[in-house]
Amino acid sequence: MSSGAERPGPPTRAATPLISPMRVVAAVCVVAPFVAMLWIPSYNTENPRLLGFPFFYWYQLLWVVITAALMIVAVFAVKFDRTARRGADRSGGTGGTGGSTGASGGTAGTPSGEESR
Amino acid sequence: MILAASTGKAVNGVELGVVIFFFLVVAALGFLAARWRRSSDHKHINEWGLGGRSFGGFVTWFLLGGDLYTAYTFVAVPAALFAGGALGFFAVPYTIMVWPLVFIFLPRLWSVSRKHGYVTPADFVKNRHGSKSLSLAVALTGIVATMPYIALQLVGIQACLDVIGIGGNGSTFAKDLPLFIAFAVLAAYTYTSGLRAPALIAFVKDALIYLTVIVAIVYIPTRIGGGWTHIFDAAQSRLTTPNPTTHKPAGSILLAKGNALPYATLAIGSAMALFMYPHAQVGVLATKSRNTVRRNLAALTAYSLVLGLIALLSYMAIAAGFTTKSLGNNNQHAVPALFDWAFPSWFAGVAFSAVAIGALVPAAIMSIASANLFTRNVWLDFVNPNATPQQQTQVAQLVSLVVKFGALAFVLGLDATSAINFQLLGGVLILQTFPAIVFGLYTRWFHRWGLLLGWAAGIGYGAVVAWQQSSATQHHFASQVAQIPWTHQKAYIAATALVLNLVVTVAATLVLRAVKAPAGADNTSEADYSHEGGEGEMPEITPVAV
Repeated sequence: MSSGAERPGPPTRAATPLISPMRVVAAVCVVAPFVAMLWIPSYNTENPRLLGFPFFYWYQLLWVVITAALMIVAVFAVKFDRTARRGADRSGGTGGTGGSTGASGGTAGTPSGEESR
Repeated sequence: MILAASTGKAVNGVELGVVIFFFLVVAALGFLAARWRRSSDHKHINEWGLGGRSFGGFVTWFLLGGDLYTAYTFVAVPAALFAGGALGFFAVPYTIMVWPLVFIFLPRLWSVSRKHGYVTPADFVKNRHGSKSLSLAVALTGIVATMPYIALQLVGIQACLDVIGIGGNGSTFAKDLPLFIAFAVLAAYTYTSGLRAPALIAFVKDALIYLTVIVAIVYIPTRIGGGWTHIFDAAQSRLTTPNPTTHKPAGSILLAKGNALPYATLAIGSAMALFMYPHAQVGVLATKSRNTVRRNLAALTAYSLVLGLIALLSYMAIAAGFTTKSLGNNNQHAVPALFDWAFPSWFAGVAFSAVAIGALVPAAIMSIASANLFTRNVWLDFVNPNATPQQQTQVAQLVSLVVKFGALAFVLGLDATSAINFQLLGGVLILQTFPAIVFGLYTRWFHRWGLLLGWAAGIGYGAVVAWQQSSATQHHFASQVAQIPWTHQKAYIAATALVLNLVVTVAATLVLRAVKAPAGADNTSEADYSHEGGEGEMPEITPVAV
C-alpha cells in the first residue's frame, strides 16, 4: 500500500466537525435541482405563460440558469470550507493533509501500480 | 437553388458547398492538432488518449461541451418532441441534473485517477475492488454502449445530407458514400492526432452551434409569424389531433397522465448514465487540475440552455407546416428541414455544418475512449501485460478505427428512424456500471462479486426488456420506456434495471460477507481521493503500464 504512511488521516480530520455550515450550503445547492426537476406536478401546467412559452417550458429553462448560479455558490462554499479546514488542521499542528498538496504524487503511484500487475 | 431544395430531390449546391468547406477546414485542423501543445513524449497513451492530461478551464469548456452535446441534441431530441411532444423535453431536466451529479463525484474520480495514472474508469474499478473481471465487465459495457451512441452521430450527419439532397433515393452505396468519406477522414485524423483533434475542432463546432442557435431562435419565429404563442399553439393542436389510423393523439405539449414517472426516470437515469460513458470521463480525466471541471460547471450549463432551445425548434417545424409525411416519414429531418426552409441556402449550409461537425467531434472522442478501454482493460490485462505505453498507443489507434466501423455497421443494420433509442439503449447498459464506479469512490462495503452479479442482473434485464419493445414500425428496441414489473406504471428501462442491479448487489454482498468470501485488494488510499495534483505535474503512470 503506497500511501500507507499517510493513512492516519482521520485524527486530523476530527479537528473540524464533518458537517460545517459551508458544507450544508454546498449540499443544499447540489440537492435543490434534483428536488425541483423530479417534482414534476409542480411544473406540469400551461399557465402562467411567459413570452408565449407555457410554464412547463420556461420554468425548466429558468432552472438551467438557477442551477448555474447554485453551482457557483457550491464551488465557493466548498472552497471556503477547504481553506477553513486547512487552517484548522495546521493550527492543530499535525499537518496530516499530505495527500492534498500533490507533492507526493510522483512517487506514490509507483509501487501501487506494480502491485496491480 | 432554393427552388431546387424545396422540391426535395435535387442537390442544393450552395448548401453542399458550405458544408464541404467547413468539413475541409475541420479535417485540416484535425491533422494539424497533432502538433498542438505537443509534448516530448507524444507517443505515450496519456498523450494520444488523454491529450497529455493538460487541458485547462477554457479548453475543457469547449471540449466537454463538444463531447456531451451531440447529434443527440440536434437531431434526436427535436425528433422526439416533434413526434410526441412534452415527453421528449426530458432532455432538459436531464442536462440540468447532470451538473450537480458531476459536482458530487467527479473530483474524487479525477484525484484517484491522477494519483495512480488511471486512463479509464475500468482502471479505477480494477484497482479499487481488486477485480479484473469486474473491470472487464465495466470496460466491455463501455465499449458496447458507446457503439449505438456513435451510430447516433452518423444518423445526425445523414439527416443533414438527406435534406441537402445527397443520398435519399440512390442505391445504398451511393446513398452512404458521403457518410463513408466523412467517416474515413474522421478516422484518419483521430488516428494521427488522438484527443487533440476533437479538442481543437470543438472550438469550431461550438462557435458554429451557438451562432446557428441564436440566429434560429431570433430569426425563425419572424418567418413563421405569430411569435412563440403561435408556435406552441400550433404544436399543441397538431400533437393532440388523433391519428387517423390509431385514433389516438400523438401527445401534447404537457405531460399526459402516467408520463410523469417516465419523464422523471428518463431524466435522472440519463443524468446518472452520462458520466459513466467512457467519452465523458475522457473529457474529465484530460483536465489538468481537480477543480477544472467544478469551476466550469456554471459555464457548462450554457449548453443545457442551448439544448432546450434546439429542442423547441421541433415545435417551430410543426408551426411551419412540416409533418412526418412531408419529412419523408423521418422525424429526424425536422430540424434540418426547418433550417433548409427558413434560412437562405448559404446560412442553411452553415447550420448543417454545425450539426455535422457537432456529430464528428463526439464521434471522435467516443472512439478514442472505447479504444482506451479496450487497450487498457482488455488487451493490457488479458493479452499483453508487458506492453509499453507506446505499444498501448498503437493498439488504441487501431481499435479506434475498428470501433468507428463497428458503429457504421450498427447504423446500417438497425432502423435509424428514431435515433434517440440508440442513445437510450446505450444508457440502459452503461448505467449498470454506476454502482461499481460511483459507490466504489466512497465505500468498499459492496463486495466485488456482488457488484458483478448486480451488473449482470441489470444488463440482462435491461437488454431483454429493451429488445422486447415493439411498435407498428419496429419489432425490437422500439421504446426505452416499459412497464415496471408487477405495476401498471411505466418507467425508463435503465432505471428499473438499476434498481434490480442494486437489490442483487446488496443481497449478494450480504451473503458474500456472511460467508467471508475474499474481498479484493484495494490499491488506493483515502488521501488519494482528494489528491490535487500540481500544476504542470506530469502524472506518474509508467509503472502501471510497463
